[in-house]
Amino acid sequence: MNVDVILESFNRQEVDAILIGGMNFMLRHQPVLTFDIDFWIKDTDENLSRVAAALRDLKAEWGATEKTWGILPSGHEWLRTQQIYCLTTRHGAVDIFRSVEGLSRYGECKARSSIHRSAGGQPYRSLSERDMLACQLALPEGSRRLDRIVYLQKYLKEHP
Amino acid sequence: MTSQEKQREEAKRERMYDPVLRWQHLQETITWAEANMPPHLRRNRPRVHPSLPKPNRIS
Repeated sequence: MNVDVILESFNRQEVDAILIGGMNFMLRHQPVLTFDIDFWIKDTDENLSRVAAALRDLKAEWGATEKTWGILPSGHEWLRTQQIYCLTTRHGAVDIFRSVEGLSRYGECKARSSIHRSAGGQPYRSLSERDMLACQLALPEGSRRLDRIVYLQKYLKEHP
Repeated sequence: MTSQEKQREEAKRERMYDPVLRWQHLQETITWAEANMPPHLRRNRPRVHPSLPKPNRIS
């Protein structure tokens, strides 16, 4: 997956999004195995339109079912039909979240987030450690990543 | 959004992912992740003698 190309496309379309999940944790803290890039997006029509444009630039494919899987439908209304979308793009797998378990308001989490750059120079907005931890704790017990929880709890103790 | 919804979406993508493209993406991800790791966590990094100061962490 070429993460820089994906970030660049989202930045070019001025998508309002926060990087979450394993890629965010890997970039900010510890090496973890992850093969997709997760974005939590601001859920407005204007932003959904930007998200759709960025995904089209990346030659994304998705379908509500396997039978309808293929190039993206036109417009952005299809992004209103689910809360999460797992897509393939020419540059790697992308997950789009309209809502995130354990986190309530996008604006509040965005205010706590911070902007960083990848080694390739692409800026990205990173979910805060406090919210990373909240995401993990909201998962069913069997799905939680305990090592990540322990790390984040220790980190937050040292960086209150 | 529930974790079940996420699992369903991921499973659907997994079935529809072109195997060749998926393999290529895995290789690229490993390379990219390596380049984006702090120097002290990289494989094949220059080693320093234990008596010398450790390289600075990059946060």
